[in-house]
Amino acid sequence: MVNSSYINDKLKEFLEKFEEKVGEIDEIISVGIDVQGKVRTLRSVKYTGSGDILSDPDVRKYLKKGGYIVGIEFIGNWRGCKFRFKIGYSDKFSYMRVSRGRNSLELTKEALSKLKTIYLDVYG
Amino acid sequence: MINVRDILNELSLDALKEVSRLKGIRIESRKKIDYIEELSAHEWSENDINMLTEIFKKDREKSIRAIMIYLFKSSHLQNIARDDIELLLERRSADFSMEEISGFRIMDEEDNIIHCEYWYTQKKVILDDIGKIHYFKMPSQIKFDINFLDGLITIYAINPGLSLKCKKSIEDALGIEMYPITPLEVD
Repeated sequence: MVNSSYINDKLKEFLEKFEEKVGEIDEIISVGIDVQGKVRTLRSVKYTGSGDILSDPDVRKYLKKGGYIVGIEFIGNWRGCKFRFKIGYSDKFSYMRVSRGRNSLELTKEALSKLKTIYLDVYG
Repeated sequence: MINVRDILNELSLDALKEVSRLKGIRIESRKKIDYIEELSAHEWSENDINMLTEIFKKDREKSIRAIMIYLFKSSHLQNIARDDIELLLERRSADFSMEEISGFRIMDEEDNIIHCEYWYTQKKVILDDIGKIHYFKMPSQIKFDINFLDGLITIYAINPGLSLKCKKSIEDALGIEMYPITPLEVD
C-alpha cells in the first residue's frame, strides 16, 4: 500500500518545480489516486476526478489485478502559451502527456521535453 | 496485401488532394468519398503505395492533438557498449517484406542518444456504412530514444499497451530489464 501523504508530497514537489522552472499553473484539473482499484481523494491538492487514463483498457486490467496509478492534470504556461499537461505513474509505467490545443506541434514537443526534465528532476 | 481503399478512407481531405495531385489525377470535388472512389479505381504500383504510406504518416502527424511519452530506465545499459546496442538492434531489424512486421530501425544519433523506431503491424477493424466489417493491416512505428550513458529510455507511444509492447521488444533484443521511472516502489 502506498502512503497517501508521500504521494501528496511528491505531487506538490512536482507542481512547485514546474512553477519554478517552466511557468505558472492556471488550474489543476484533476488528481486521481487509485490504490488497488479504489479512487482516493487528495483534498490538499484538489480533486475533481480520476482522469482519462482510467478509460484505457490496459490500465483498467492493471487496476483489476490490484495495481494502482497516480495521475495529475493541470493547465500550465510555457513560452506564453497555455497547455494541458498530464503526468501519471504506477509501479508498471510512468507517462507524460501534453495536449496541443491551438499550439503548434513543435512548441508542444518543446513543452513535453520540458515536462520530462521536471519529472526526472523530481522523480528520477 | 495492402488495401488501398482502406488507407484512403483513413486520410483527411487535404491528404487526399495531395495524393490525387501526385498521382496526376484531376478530381473536381469537395467530398472525401469522391476522392476515395476515384483514386481507388486506379492502378497502384509499389512506388505509389510507398508514397501513400508517407502521406498517411504525415497526415496522422498533422492531426495529432496531444503527444505523450513513457519513461523507463535500465542500469544494465551502462554495461553494454554503444556499438553493441546498435548491433543487437540491427539483428532484430524490421523486415518490411513480411506480412507481420516486428523489429527495429535505427534512425540517427546525437551525443549520448540513439534515436530508433520499433515497427509492428497495426491491425484495425473498420465498420462501413452498411455494417460490413473490414480488416485493415498497416505497418506502424513507435519511436524511442536510448540514452546509453544515463540508462534512460523514452518511448513515444500513444497508450500504455503500445509502450509496454515496445518495452518488451527492447528488453528481448538487448537482453536487459527496464523499469518505469516512478517514485513508487517497484517489485
